[in-house]
Amino acid sequence: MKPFTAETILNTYGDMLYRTAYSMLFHHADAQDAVQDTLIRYLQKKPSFNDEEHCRAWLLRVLINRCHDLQRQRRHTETADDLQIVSEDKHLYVFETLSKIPMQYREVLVLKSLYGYSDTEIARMIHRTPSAVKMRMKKARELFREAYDDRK
Amino acid sequence: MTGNNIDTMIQEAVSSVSLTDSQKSQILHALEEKPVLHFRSRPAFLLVSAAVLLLVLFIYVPRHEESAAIVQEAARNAEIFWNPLSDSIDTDSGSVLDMMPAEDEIYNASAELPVSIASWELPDTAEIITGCTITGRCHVICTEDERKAEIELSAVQPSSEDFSDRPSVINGRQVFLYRGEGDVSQAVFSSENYHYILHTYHYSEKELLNLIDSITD
Repeated sequence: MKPFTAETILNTYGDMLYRTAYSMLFHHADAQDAVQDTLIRYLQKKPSFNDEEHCRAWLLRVLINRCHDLQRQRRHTETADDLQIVSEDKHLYVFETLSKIPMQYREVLVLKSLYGYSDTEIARMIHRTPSAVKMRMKKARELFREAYDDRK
Repeated sequence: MTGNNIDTMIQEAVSSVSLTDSQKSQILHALEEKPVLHFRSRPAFLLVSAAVLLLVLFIYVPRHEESAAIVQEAARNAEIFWNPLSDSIDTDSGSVLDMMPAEDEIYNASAELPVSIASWELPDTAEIITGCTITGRCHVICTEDERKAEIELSAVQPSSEDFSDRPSVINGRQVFLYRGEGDVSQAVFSSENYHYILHTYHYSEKELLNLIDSITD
């Protein structure tokens, strides 16, 4: 695959990247920064990909690393301060629940739920073993259930 | 609430968020204003790289050796210490074993409840790494070439819903085996005092069962 322009990447993968970043940071400006930084990284590296899936996985991996960096930098509690922008109450409820889950569990839950990645694929993406991902997934779902029920 | 329900709820919620045209324009505008730095082509890169390398050599290597000593000591004792209250360990001040695979999760907990696994016979070439996770679970990781076994100890009964492929009984223990993706095998079983979650790589089923059989509190 030929390298894409920033605009093509943004139009093709922008929403996907933004949604993923928002699901991890709950902050629109930070999510936008994460997408922007991912694009900068892409333009710097100009990696070549075998197919679209390869490209998507690469972008997600860079984005996730960037989300971790941003979270460390801001060092404030995740209060999901932009959540009010999400219009529907039921969605707000889900985001609030997600925001109660620690980052390392949230990221595997988001990657599995949104993209259906296998444990092995997620493990490769976040540099963990498949068994660690499996355990995190199990714990993440438990935490989600608990947090969701607590909010009822 | 099943895993699928959770996935669907998250999918629906996340789909309600998208980049606006204005945000896209802002991003593209920012990219135009901030030319991509080809840092690697600059001589400064070499200088910074050299400085970083020196810094790593001076700071990281001694710490790594220190961590290795802790691990070797733990291996000699063949004993791990488990603090069920390790959930409360301060992540900033916790003592981190840098060489653990999941660096950000492993903390060297204080000794409160000793758990001995001395009867677990390890190959001479095995490397044992011990540590406690912030979630209160203890890991014992044994690696030999590509073979790897990892044990998590927990005071909480693990849910067997993901491990109920084929329950077996080994020496009176009920064992739930799970064959994951690739070469990963997992087993959940309980002893009189503890619950174990065992992950192994490149172990045959017979070896896995022998390993379970050899683990005692």
